[in-house]
Amino acid sequence: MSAYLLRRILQIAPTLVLITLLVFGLLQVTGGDPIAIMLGPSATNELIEQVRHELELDQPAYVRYPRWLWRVMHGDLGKSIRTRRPVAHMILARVQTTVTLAVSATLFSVLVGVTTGVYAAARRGAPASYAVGVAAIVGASVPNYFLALVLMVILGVQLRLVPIAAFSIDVLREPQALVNLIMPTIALGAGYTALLSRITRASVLEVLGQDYVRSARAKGLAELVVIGRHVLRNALLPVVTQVAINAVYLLGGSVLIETIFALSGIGSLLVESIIARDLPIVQGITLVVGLLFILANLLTDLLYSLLDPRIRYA
Amino acid sequence: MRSAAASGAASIAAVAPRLGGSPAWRRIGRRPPVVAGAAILALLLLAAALAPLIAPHDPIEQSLGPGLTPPGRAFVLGLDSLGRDVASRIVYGSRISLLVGSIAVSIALTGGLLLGVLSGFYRGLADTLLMRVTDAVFSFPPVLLAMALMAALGANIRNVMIALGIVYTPRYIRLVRVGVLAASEQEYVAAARAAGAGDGRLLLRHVLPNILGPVVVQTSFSFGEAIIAEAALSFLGIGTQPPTPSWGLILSDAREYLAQAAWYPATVGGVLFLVVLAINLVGDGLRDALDPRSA
Repeated sequence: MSAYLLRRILQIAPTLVLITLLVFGLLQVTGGDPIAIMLGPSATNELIEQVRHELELDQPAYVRYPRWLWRVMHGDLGKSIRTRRPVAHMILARVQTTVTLAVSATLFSVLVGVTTGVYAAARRGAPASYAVGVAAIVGASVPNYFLALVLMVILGVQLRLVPIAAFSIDVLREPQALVNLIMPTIALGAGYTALLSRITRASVLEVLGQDYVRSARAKGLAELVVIGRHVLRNALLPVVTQVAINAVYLLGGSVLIETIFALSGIGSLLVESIIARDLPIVQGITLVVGLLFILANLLTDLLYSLLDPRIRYA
Repeated sequence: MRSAAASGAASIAAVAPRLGGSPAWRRIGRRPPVVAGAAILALLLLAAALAPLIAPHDPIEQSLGPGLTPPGRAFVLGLDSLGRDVASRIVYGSRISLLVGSIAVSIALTGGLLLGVLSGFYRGLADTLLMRVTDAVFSFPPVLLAMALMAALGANIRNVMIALGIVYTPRYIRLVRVGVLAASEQEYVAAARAAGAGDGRLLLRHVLPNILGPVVVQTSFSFGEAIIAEAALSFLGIGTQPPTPSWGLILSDAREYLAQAAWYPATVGGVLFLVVLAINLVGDGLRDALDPRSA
């Protein structure tokens, strides 16, 4: 196991380096002087030079990159141009909202996606199974930002069930805020739910055709036991192990959902920073997401190798 | 991992010759969802091509009537807050969506083909390096990476196409590489090489036709994704800039009037949804016909 872990970490190293290069490179590809662009037309030359010196942009890239990397490794993501506060602090202050959203959307997707997928496979050919298929392709096609607006009109404006925007989703401190999570969760999770439903259906259908399922049925086991004990355990392995990776991918959609519902998370911070061309924050968020993905990937591989020992020796 | 990829690619090579007037192809053409999707896309193309003829009004002309006039006889899809004709804006917006979608996908396709062939056919250091680069790009949610690129490049429609093109390139590199690797191992390629065919002829005549199927399927899905992404970036104010009638910008404007005029976001959002649904339906059909193993 430890040899496998070591090998995986060694494989990750070059990708990690490339991710940092990519994020570092963001500051290099701006058309024109990045400092002048970031500070806007009203900036004095003095200020421009001061920020340039602060960001070390007066030095060549090969000198800056190792220094930048060293600071990043020590948790220093630089300072925001707009607020002059440390980027790491600004991101940390917004983490809770985004994590709450991601966790809630992931739970929703797994619950609904897996249930409907299993149902559609077990009742193959029934009208309800067909309906699940239609819902899955609709869910995969509706842009999450449009779905968010539809939910706002129906649940917020027409039915007045939930506040439309700028609500608290701090469910740990205020349990009654749970209802506020309904709209953002559905809007963020719909696409992933649809995907999971389709994957689960295909996976369960494949397992249903296996010999050991026929044996289980031949033994006279109830259909529920066959599905629950023999089918799901094998069919859900690829589904469940992907959860961490997909949770990181949900952060992409979170940018839109946070902005629409005026939730102050990492996603809305990113949009504010892009509009203000506050590149150190954009770099910081991009880097954090990339690292999270690598971590999720590693966890997935480890989880998989624990559940399915064949992987370790492949 | 490598063996799985190779066996997947072998299946690609085995299925791809069916591209064209095969039974599978004709069967797909008779499926109602695929036909419906294709019909919607044909309408969209027509609308974009004939925009000046079919749009009832100038898409950026203001004060055609009172702001937020609901859909009715005079204005089919109503007027927006500035009194602009929503129907005309959506018709002209289709040009933006199609333009961004096709240019972004073309960039990705061209880059992916060149680099994928370099990686899969010539192998070596370039292959190792390119695979690590694609790994790095895959580490970011696509929309998020496009946004970061927009932050660096600056918000305008040209940069949307470039950013999306860059973000979608690695998937084509992977796809082409795997296909080229598998096809290169086929006996007929060895035979053609033995018969004296050069690299160019080998690639064009014997290797690339075999990976056409999966590439076509990927192109249809990426195209739909690019349309959603362009609208998303514009919606957030970091994509196409006003007054260009991008669907994302129209939706962003509509969002301000959810309570007074729910019909307004429904029109443009509905069109966007229908188009993406149509692309996915056609994409699913193409996948079943050309690349059944990945379904």
